[in-house]
Amino acid sequence: MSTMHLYQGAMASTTGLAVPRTSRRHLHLSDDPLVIVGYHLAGEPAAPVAMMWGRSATRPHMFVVPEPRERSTRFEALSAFATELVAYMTAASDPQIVLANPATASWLLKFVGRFTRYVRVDGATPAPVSIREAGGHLTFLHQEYMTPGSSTVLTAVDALTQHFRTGQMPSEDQNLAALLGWVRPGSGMTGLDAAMLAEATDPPSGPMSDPSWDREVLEEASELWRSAEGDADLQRHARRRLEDGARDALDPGWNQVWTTLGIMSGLPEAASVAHRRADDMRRFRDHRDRAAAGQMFFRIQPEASGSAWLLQRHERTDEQLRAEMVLDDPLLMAAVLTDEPAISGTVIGVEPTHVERDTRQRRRPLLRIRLDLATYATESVDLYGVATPELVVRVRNATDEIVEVVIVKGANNATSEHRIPTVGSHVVFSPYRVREFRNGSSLRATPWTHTLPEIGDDTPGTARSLEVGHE
Amino acid sequence: MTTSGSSGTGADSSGFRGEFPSATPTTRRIAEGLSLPACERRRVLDSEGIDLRKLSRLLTQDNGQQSPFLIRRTQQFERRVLSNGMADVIDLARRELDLRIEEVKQSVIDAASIRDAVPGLTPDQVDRQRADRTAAYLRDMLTQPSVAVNLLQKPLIRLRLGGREVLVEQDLMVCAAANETVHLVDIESFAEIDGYLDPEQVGQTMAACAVAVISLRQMATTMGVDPKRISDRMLLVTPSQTGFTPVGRLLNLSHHIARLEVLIDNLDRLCDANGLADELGATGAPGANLPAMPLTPGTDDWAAAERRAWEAISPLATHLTEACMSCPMFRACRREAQTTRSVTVLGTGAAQEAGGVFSVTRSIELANGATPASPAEAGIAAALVRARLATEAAMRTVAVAPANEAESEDVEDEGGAVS
Repeated sequence: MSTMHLYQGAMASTTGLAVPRTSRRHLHLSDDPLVIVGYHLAGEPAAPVAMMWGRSATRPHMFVVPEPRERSTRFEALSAFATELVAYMTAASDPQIVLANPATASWLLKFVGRFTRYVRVDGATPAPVSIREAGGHLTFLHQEYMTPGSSTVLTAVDALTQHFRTGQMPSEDQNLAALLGWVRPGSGMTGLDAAMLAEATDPPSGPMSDPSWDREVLEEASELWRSAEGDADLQRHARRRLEDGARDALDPGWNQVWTTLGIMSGLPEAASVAHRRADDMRRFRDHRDRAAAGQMFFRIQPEASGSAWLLQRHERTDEQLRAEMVLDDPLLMAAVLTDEPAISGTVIGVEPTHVERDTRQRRRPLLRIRLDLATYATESVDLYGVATPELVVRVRNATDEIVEVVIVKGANNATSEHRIPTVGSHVVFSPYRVREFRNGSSLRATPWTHTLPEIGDDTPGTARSLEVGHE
Repeated sequence: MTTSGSSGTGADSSGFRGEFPSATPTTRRIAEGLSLPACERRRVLDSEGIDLRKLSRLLTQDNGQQSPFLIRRTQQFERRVLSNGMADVIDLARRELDLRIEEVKQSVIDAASIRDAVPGLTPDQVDRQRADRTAAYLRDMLTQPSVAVNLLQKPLIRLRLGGREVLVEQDLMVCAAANETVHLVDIESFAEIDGYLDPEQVGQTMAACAVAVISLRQMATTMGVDPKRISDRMLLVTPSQTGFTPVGRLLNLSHHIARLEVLIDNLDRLCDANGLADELGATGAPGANLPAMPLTPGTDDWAAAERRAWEAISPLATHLTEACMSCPMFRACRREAQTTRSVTVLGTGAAQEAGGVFSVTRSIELANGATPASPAEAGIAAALVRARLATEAAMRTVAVAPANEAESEDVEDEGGAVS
């Protein structure tokens, strides 16, 4: 945790309004997103109860499952959603799924994806083919959700907490209604008032429904449904009752997600978003090709070397994402200047021919900088120019007001010395720089952290038998 | 709370609870309370056996319900596992715990079976009967395992905690005595998916079972039996994938046991040192006690009871963290922290960062350049000033577009969000 985290929280609490953590939007927004909110049965993620989805804020589609514990009723309801998801994933030119919160992402993409992508479409109780196809797409979307910097799947909670700091606990921010209360309190209310009101009155935005809704709406409707067995009219009536109840419960969450997208679109896009989106689209096109060829295969139990490779890739992507965001955004840079070794100030002296007094007598131009803020940087840290990323400097002498740095790379010979900042210019040096790395670089060997203990090879473990569908 | 063999503070502390409803503690609740050692309020309310859900309902009107579907699911799975003479449990215990169970001898000691056997007992007497029987069965299991019952359902266990003896209800627990050791078996309704269990749920279950193991070991010690014969390896039975087929998982509780033993020790020492009654007295609530639970929210009775409950508990110190979110008192304590503008409302990380600065207001004063009043304040004051200066400088360099640019209809009163 950082001082900036405390300062921004205290500011939000004092002003009664969430404060911006960023001055830019660090994610891509599609013109044609698919928004999904939904509930599953308490304790049973495999049993969806109600789902609302669509590409327009004013015209959501919805399904309800009057008897969520019954497989056929469940599939019947799910297939309408599955068909539209498959159509969207096949045709959308700027695909983006937007969910309410990380818990919904984990439920819908990971869990529902896991149980639908290999569902039987033949045999005694076949599932619709669209459900199986949707399962493949959901699994791909889960992988995207786990990829740092990807905008193919967004959640409203992640988007808001990435860009705003509220005056409440980060764990409380998981409640989308309360979080939005801080960012957009109604007129005459403080963020705290709005958040407390939302927590007390707004139904959850999923994936868990409110226990009292379960008791008062769902239980009654499913009893009505069961007692109407064989009577189509009565069952339609039961379904309508549940639809009305589900609409009342899901509408607030649905609107909150769209409001979040509106808030996000008001922030100017950061410079690196476009190239990250290009990466997203490259992965998406690969996936679409596989889907078209009927080749959407995924492992159920991840393999050690694959996991190690993926982890390494995610770590590097995450590091790169962090650097890009900081360099794109003066407010994020302000947090770095507050809590990390970095330098911001005005050049008051330059010695272009300065030579280090060590055994090798290297030419290292020296800058004398009047600091905006005292620096935490020490001699051992390499700092990179924010405006001129080629420049690498190290601190030599520092007081609270003045720091002397030497340029160790980037301006040490006749062809590069034009990069030396001039007296009077404002400079910022931070530990961040964007590095190029090849996406496909592989591991030389599986690291010991990811090797499995030797097990007798013929044990008929469940993991082995579950590995269906993998090449 | 059912207390027996009180250790001297009983009389005063029952005064604190007054007529407020009590609840028999579960191992889960005890583990949870021990994990919040900095919270004096929770410690006192727990050792008074106060029904925290009802108290929270009185103070915040939050009724903390569970979904009927979840309750039913839990019951259904329990029934499924316990059916057919617990054949599934025995099978899993043989396989996972490697137990030699030749002949299954089981017994149920829930409240209903005691009431059937001995009609006319008061609830307190029923509990005592169950605890006595649990102790007797345990003694047999440890001393003559070949003839003793080897599966015990719904035991009520004696635990010494904070210098007094409490009876703890196990959600559902079975002891299988064979191989000269006793193991716990716990049945939970969250599912194992592709070999994975939700780590948070497993963690809570393990902490609760560790409390039960510690209690059983205390009982074994008083019987003169090696406490290590109560094993720290337990069997967790959960449904598999999306169905109800039970699967077993061997869990090692030794870490949880070690951790909770330290916490229990600390609690004992604390209670030895100043006793609960002294603690209540020292914190300025001599003679304060809780009201009876009123019937209807919104009435004058309710409001009066709420006020009195606040007066009784507010002298008890709390330390609000994000770990408190699972405590039934969370909303009540949070409201109090909001009223006092405590820095804890900003979350555990921010509160730790604030160090010796305790209020949000003071943090902002220091950020704006107020002179630190103590060395503790000086530590964070300079950093807060940095944060403000860096933010102001950044704001000057960027023309921050207002967040509401895209939606002009309500810009007037909300434009402040990003400016």
